[in-house]
Amino acid sequence: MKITISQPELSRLASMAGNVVPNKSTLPILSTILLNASGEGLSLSATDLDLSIVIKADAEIESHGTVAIPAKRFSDIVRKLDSVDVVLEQKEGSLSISCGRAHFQISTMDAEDFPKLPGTQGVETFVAPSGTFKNMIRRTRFAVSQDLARPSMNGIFMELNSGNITMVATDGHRLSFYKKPEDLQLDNDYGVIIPSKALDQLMRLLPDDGDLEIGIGDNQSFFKTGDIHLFTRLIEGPFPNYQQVVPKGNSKTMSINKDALLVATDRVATLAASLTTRQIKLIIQKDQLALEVANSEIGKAREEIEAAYDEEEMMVGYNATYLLDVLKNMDCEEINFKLDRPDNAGIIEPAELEDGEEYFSLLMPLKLSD
Amino acid sequence: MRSAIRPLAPETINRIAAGEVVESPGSVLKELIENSLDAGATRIELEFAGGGINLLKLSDDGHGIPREELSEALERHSTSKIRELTDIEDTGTLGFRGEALAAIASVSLLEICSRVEEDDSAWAITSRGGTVEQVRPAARARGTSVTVRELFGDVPVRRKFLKSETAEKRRLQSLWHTYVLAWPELAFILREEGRELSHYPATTDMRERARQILGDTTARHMVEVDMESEGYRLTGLATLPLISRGNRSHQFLYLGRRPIADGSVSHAISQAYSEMLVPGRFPATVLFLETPPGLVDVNVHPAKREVRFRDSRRIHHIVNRGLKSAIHGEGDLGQLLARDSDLLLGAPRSGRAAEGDAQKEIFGRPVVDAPFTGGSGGGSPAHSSGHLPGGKPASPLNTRVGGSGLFMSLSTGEDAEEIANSSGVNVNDEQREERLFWQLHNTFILTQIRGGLVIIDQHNAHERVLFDEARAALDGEKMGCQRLLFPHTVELDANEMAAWQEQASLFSDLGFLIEEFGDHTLSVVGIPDSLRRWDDGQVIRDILDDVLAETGGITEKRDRALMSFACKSAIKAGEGMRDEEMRHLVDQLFGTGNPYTCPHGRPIVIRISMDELEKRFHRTVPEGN
Repeated sequence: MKITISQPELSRLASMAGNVVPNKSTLPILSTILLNASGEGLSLSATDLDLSIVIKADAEIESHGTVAIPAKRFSDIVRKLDSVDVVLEQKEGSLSISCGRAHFQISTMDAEDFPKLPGTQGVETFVAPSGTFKNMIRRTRFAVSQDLARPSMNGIFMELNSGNITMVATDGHRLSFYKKPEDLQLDNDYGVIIPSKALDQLMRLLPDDGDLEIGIGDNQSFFKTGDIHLFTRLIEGPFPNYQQVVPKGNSKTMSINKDALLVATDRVATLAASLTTRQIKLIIQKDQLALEVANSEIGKAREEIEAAYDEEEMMVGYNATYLLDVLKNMDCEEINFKLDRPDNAGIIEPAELEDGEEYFSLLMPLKLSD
Repeated sequence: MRSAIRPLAPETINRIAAGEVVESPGSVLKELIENSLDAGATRIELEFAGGGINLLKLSDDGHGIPREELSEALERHSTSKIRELTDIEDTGTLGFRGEALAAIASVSLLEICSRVEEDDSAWAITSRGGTVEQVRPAARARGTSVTVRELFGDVPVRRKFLKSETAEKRRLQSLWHTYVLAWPELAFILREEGRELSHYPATTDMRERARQILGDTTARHMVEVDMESEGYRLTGLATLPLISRGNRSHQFLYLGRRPIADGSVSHAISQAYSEMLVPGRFPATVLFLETPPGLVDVNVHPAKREVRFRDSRRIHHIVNRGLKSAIHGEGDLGQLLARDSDLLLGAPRSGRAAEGDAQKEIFGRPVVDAPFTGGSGGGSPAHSSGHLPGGKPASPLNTRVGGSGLFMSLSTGEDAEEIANSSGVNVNDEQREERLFWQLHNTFILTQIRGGLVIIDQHNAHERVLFDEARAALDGEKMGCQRLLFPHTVELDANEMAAWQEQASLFSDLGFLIEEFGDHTLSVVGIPDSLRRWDDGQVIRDILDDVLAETGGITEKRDRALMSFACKSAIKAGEGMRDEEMRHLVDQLFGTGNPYTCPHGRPIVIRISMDELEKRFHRTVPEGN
C-alpha cells in the first residue's frame, strides 16, 4: 500500500476514528486503526466491537493494501506534521510516514486480526434530517441511566414510524421525552435502544444540516452521514413501559422564566453539590417560587423568583442536579411546571412548542426530610 | 474393707489446699508478689531458675515479718490482713485468705528470710514439704525474701501438670508484667539464674511504665481514660485505633490494682473499638476499675483472678463509654492523628500487625528511618503528673499523647486544622486558581497541605460520611428519599421477610420507601437519595442479613446494617469525581467524628510530610555532612 493524502484531512480522519478506539482493551488489535486502500479509495476503520466507524476518504492511491496501525501513535504523529501532503507506505511489519523532510516508521499489527465489521445489507434504511436527529438526542440523553445493572436504560429509546420520531430516556428518577413529526419513508415501525457510546459519537459526528441515513437491523443499527458510517450494537429491550408512569393529571401549572429558574437553581444548588445529597426544595406560592437548600453541616440558601401560579401552595423537593439537567435542555424562554402532589412526578415542558411536537421532562421528587 | 473416717492430717489439708492456690510457678509468684505489695515494698526483685520450678526467689524491702510471727506465717489461714469475716468485703489488700504461704510450703522447699525495721538482725525459717524447722538468725536489710525451691518436688502428680520450663517462664514473665504495669511507683527487677532480664525503675508516671512494658509506640499512642459514674470509676490508658494487635494479650484489667479477667469488660472494649478496628484486631488497654464498696465479690476463687460484679451491665457501660469518650475525646483523635505523620505513614493495613516495632510501610515499602521518630526513644512525656492508678487523686495520666520528640520537626497543631478545613489548604492568592484536589486513578483524592501531601481513600471517606449520616438519620434527621418511576421489586425468603417487618422503621429512617407486595416480595418505590448502587436490591438483603445475624445486641446489629448501607452507597474506587464533589467530600469527612478510619476500621487518610518527601528524594543532607 502506498498513498498520498493531505495532512489536515488525514489528521481529521485519524482523530475521528481514534475516538472510537477503546482506551483500554484486552484485545490489542482494537487499539489500532485499520487503513485500507483499494479501488474504492481509502478507508479508515476502528471498533470496540460494540461500536464501529468506517470513514471513506479521498487519497491518491499508488498501490493497494491494508494495514492496522496503533491509533494513538498514528494520530499523534499525523497531528504534528506540517500541513502538506503525507505519504504513507506499507513496509514489512511497519508503516512509513513521510511528510516534507520528516520521516517516521512505526510498527503495525496484522490486519488479518482486525475484526470484521458489520455490513449494511438486509437492513431497512431511511433518511432523516441530521440536525433534527442530533437535537433530539441532545435534549433527551441527559436522562440516560448510568446504572449498568439496568442495561435497558443505558441508552435512548428511539421509536420510529412513518409519521414520527420519538426519543425517550430515563434512569428511573427522571425521564425525558421528545416526539417530533417527521415524514420518514418507513415500511415498519421500530423501537430500538441506542447505547450511550453511540449517542456520544453521533453528537460528535452529526452535522447540523443535511441528511442522515439510518439503517435498522435486528441487533445492529447504522448511521451514515457524508463519508462516515457508524455501526452500533443495539441494547436489548424491553425499554421500561414509560407511558404508564407519565402522569396525565398534573393540573397545577406554574409558568416561569426558564433562565431565571436555571440561574437561581444553579446558585442555590451550590450548597447541594455534595455526593450525598443534592436536595433542593421548591416552595411554590401564589406567583412566587422560592428555592431552598438547607444542609445541617454546610448551611442554608434561599432565593425567590417570580412565577405565574394560582393554585394551592405546595412544597416539593428535587435532586438539584436533575433539575438543572432538565432546565439546561429547555430551548425556550418560558416553561410550564406541572404538578399534582409533592410525592408525585412533576412535569416540566416548554411553554411553546411547534405543531405536533411534544417535549417534556419528568422528575421524581425527593421526599423532603422532615 | 471399709476405711474409717478420720480427720486429715494438717499437711494433707495444706496439700489439698495447695491444689487450689498453687498450680504453677506463676501462681506462687502471684501469692508472693501480693504479699510484697501488701507489705508496702518499694522495690521488688524476682530471681528464678528452671522456669520457676527449680527456683523462685522474691525479695522486697517491705515492712518485714517479726521473728515471732515467722512460723505462724506458714500455718494455714494465718494472715495479718484480716481478723474477721466482715473485713473481707472492705479489704484494701490483695491477699487475705491466709492460705498461700502454708500451701506453697506444703509442696516445696520454702525459706523465708525477713527483717523488720526495729530488729537488729534478720531471721529465717525453712519448711520442707510442710515440716517447719526452727527459726534461725540470718542477714539481710529490711524486708522479706521468700525462696521457693523444687516446686512439687515430692508431689510428682502435680509436677506432671506443669508445662515445659519455657512455657512456665513465659507465664511467669507475663504475670510479672501484669503487676509491674499496675505499680509504676515501685521498682521491679527480674533475674534468671543471676542474669538480669529487666529492670524497671520506679516512675511517677503511668505512661512511662506503660512504655517500659508495652513499647514506645504503643504508649505514645495511648490516650487517657477517666470516667466516673455513680461510684464506679474507670481510669487508665487505651490505644488510639491505629495501633492494634492480633489478640487481647495487651489488655490489662485491674480491680483496684488487683489483676482480674472479666468477659464483659473484654466485650465492652471490643465494642468501643468496633467501628474503628477491623475484626480480629484488638487495642492495647490498661484499665483500672474501682467499684463502690460491697458491689464486688473477690472471694470467688482462691486465685482471685475472677471476681463477681453485682452489676456487670454497669461495668460494661462504664468501660464502653469511658473508652469511647477517651478515643473521641475533644477531637483528640483527629488532632493527634493528623499531626502524627509517623503513625499515618505507618498506619496498619487491615489484619496486619501494627505493634510498635512492626515495620512501617508506605506504598508497600518499609519506611526507613521515618523522620519523626527520632529522639522519642527513652524520653518520658513532658507533663507527667505524679498520680498512680488505684489511688484517689484525679487525673492520673496528664500527658498528651506523643508528648515525646515526635512532633519536633512539625509545626504543631495547625496541620490538623488545615486538613479539617479543606479550604484552608495552603494557597496564597496567586495559587488560588490552581486545582486543590486531584483524583488518582479514580480512587484516591490527593490534596496539598502546608506540611505536605494528604491522600484520602475516596470510598473509605465516603463510607465514613454516610455511616455518620445514617446514624444521625436514626436519631431524627431522616435521609432524603428519591422516589422511583419504576419500582424495584426484591424477593425475600421467609426469614428475611420477617426481619424486614421487624426493621421496617430502620429502612424508612434510612430513606427507603418500601411496600409489601405479596408474601415474599417487596416493592421499593423510593430509595435513599445517597444510595449509589442498587445492585438489584442487594443492599436490602445485606442490611437484613446484618439484622438477622445471631451475634451482637441491637445497637451492634444496627451499626452493622448501617455499615452495609454506607458501603453500598459510597462512591467506589474507580469512579471519577468532579472537583466540587471532592471538595465537598473532604469537607464532610472532616466534619465527622472520626475522619481517620472508616466504619470497618480501615484507614481513610494518609499524610506524607514534605520532610518525608524531601528525604526520599535525598534533598535533605544528613546531619554532619
